[in-house]
Amino acid sequence: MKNVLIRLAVRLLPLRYRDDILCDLQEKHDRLLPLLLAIVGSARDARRARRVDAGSRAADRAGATLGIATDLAAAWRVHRRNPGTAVGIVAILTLAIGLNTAIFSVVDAVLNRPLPFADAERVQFLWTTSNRVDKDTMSPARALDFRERVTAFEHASLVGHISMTVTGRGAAERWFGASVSSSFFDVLQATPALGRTFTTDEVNRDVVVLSHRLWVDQFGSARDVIGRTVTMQGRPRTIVGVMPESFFWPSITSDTSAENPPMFWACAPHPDVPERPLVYDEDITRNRTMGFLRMVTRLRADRSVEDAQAEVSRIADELAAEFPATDGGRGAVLVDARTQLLGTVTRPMWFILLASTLVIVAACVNVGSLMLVRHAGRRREFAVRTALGAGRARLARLVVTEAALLSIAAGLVGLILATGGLQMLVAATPTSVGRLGDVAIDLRSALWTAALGLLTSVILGAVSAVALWRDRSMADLKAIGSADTSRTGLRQALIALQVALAVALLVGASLFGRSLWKLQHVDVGLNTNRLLTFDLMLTGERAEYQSQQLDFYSRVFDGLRALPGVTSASGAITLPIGGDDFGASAFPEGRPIPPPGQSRRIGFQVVWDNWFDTLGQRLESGRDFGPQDTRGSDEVVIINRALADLEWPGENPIGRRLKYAREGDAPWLRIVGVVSNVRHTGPGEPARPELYLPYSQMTQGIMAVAVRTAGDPLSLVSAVRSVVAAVDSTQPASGFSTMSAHLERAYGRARFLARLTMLFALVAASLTLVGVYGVSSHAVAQRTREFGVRAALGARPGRLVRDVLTSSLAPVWIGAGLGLAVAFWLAGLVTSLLFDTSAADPIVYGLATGIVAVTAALAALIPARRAARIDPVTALRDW
Amino acid sequence: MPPRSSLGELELVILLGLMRAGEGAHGAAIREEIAATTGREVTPGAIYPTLDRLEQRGLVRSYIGEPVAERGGRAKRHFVLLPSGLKEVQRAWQQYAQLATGLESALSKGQR
Repeated sequence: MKNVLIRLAVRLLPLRYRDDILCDLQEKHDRLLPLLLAIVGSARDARRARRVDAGSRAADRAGATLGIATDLAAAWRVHRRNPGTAVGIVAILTLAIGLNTAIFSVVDAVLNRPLPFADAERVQFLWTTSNRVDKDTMSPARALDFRERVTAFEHASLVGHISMTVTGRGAAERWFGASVSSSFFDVLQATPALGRTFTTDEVNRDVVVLSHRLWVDQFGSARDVIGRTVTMQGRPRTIVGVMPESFFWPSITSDTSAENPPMFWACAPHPDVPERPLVYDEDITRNRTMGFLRMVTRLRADRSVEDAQAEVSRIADELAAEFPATDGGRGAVLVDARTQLLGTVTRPMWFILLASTLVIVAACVNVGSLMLVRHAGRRREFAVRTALGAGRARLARLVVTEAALLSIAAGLVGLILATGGLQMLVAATPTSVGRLGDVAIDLRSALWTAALGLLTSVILGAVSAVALWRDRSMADLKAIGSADTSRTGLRQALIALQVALAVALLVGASLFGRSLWKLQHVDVGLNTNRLLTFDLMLTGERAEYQSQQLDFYSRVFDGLRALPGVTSASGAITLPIGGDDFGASAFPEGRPIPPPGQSRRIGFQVVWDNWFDTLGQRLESGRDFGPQDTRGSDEVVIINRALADLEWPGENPIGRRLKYAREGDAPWLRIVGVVSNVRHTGPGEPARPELYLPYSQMTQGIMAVAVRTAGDPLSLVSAVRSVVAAVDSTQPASGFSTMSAHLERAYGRARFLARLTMLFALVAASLTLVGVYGVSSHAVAQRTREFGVRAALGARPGRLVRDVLTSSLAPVWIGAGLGLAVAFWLAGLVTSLLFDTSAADPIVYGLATGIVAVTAALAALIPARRAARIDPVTALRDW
Repeated sequence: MPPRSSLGELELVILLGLMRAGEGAHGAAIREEIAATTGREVTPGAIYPTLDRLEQRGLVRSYIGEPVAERGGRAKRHFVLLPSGLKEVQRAWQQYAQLATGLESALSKGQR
């Protein structure tokens, strides 16, 4: 420690007198502090004493101003003389900087850009909590109670999602949107691009604000849309405004996802409760069971979030006491807008930016070691410069300038590369990530690139300068011929660092790769091949009567099953994997019903006949629904294996009865079949207990249809459309997709992470290859004479190869060890992003180390073989 | 009027120190001599660059002595005043003397 301090302090002294001064001072001062103070004092005096010399002062200054231009010119000449290395270095840095800049632009656009609301931190979402779900929707009465009772809200708006059938614009269409309380835009304080938003005293409530996308897609960006009328759900509605493109508003779900954003906002009908698909006029303000509402609020400026949270919790307790049957056991939680809208996206995005920054560090380290090798070849030049009067500082400035020139070039080209790569990156980003529409290389990206360029300049410059500084033989022309051992340590340290980074990135890539592989090989419980999916949503008269609904569906299925190329077809209220998630309870007959809020959430499905067969779900016991199950007959239910195991472990549930709701009038349903499990909410989530009811006994106005086809499912879209239109032309089929597409979307994040980390790891591993090769080539060249002598004395080539490999790979082992430690630490941070993969998976770590070790060994083998082939005579003569 | 001396104040002090310390004095000895006679602490940081400059101007010369054990085997630089250096000191001293002429009583006031 003491020596380190002294050595640092001594640097302050002019090199020429350093030893003399230090010796004198050490004779005088035994204790550290006085010695350090004396050194500092001497340094000051030395500087002053030199300044006295007027002549040299003027020369110094001339030298300094001349320096920058001279250095730049000299740096340019150096790179011109050796264009291969310069281009190689710029290429490596460009790749790293371009990649990182593109990723930064995406991360910045998604996460850092302010939300499009004024004082966004005061915008809070209110969710119901229970022991079944963290974030649950609310019934109208519950939402209105919160809105009235909570004093911390300046405004509060109820939000319901709704698909509306649009007629009178050619073929009937369905638009997904939101029905919102009139205060919605007051809560967000977002201004429209055109027209106006809603006012709280809206007289005519049939008004609608369009999203930018809908305005562009459906209205050709016409500026005169304001005041036009569109018939939605059979009601003529007036367009009063268009939101700007920057107004980011996804579907509000318990999980963060930018998929399926509302295309319009319709003003909720009187009494300001959002509209539901079927009933428009019914007063549902007292309803406490229909949980279809989200709530977004703006806190009053004088109330803190904690304060507001305490208040909503208190009111949730009040409501639980007042309405134990419906609100019992339920709490309430405020979620800030940033978390709600960007929450689960944040961590993967930051992780990717961090990983790509590691790639930059790896590139810098790599280029640093290349530059060291190059400097070694320039020792004669440096010695001549020194002999001509250049001090070390002057030389350091020269090499730093050279490094800076390369970094600047790499930054500029990197920016161009980033612009090109950005669209690819955006395309690879999962659709659940929002605000990607207008990602661009902007001023902030350019500043980021500039910062990266500066960073690389500093790192490279520092590496060069340190190497130069430590090389004590520099001033000595005679020493030039001898082997260069001075920087071996530094070079090896750089190699170790490179290997460490490559190992860490490879571990990351392997973890995410394994996680993706596992996810893709999950048995979701259904056959996802060649399955066309679309939605039906009945409106008007069709929706009103159950017999009308059933008639419509039967005729549609008759038509579909008759289509050539269709093997089977069926429907359910929602699709597994790509669809919604409806919940109910399951109360077996003869057991006590648990108190409200304590019952377990059970997946709730209503299916058309032949559903299990169409999807490839196995009927394990009992029977499927059939024509015998009608409105008048015994009410039946089919349960899945998970529910059977949960409620009747080891027993046969067929013939037993259960209820799906606690209300007294909920019917008892007889279990007629048990089917295999399906991962309803996606491959990443385990199968949950589920129950299935037949449409024939519980018909619905909505249906997700699945059609198993013999060939490409999407080729049948128009035929399917005509079948539906032939049954009833006012009921559009919409949202055509395939089950594999839904599944692909579910892989989105895992694939994104796996792809990018794979790319990073590939770059880092290639850099290691180049780095190890460069350094061991140089080492072999340095030791040519030694190898020549040894070969002359009878050393076997194998022995020489082994020697080179051993010395080249020593830093590789150290680096690998370091990399494993770093990777283990980093892996802990990404555990939550992995699926069914342990962050400490030994296979992954072994694999990563193996890849790097083999790569490094291959890279070192070429120079090693060269060493073995050295001809003793040539080697000795040439020196 | 004699030619003007170009010695700076510190340079004069160091040269006088060298003369007092004697032929072949090293940097530390000069420093100690100055400190002993005047109480002025000249740091090594000031001594060596100044001596160096004086050497460049041909007023002193230096030689490397035998390595000394106490300095970890490092040799000391010893300094010798050259005739031209002595001449510069004389010139400087004359200038001071001329400047002081007629000020003797004021300059010695308060001193014993």
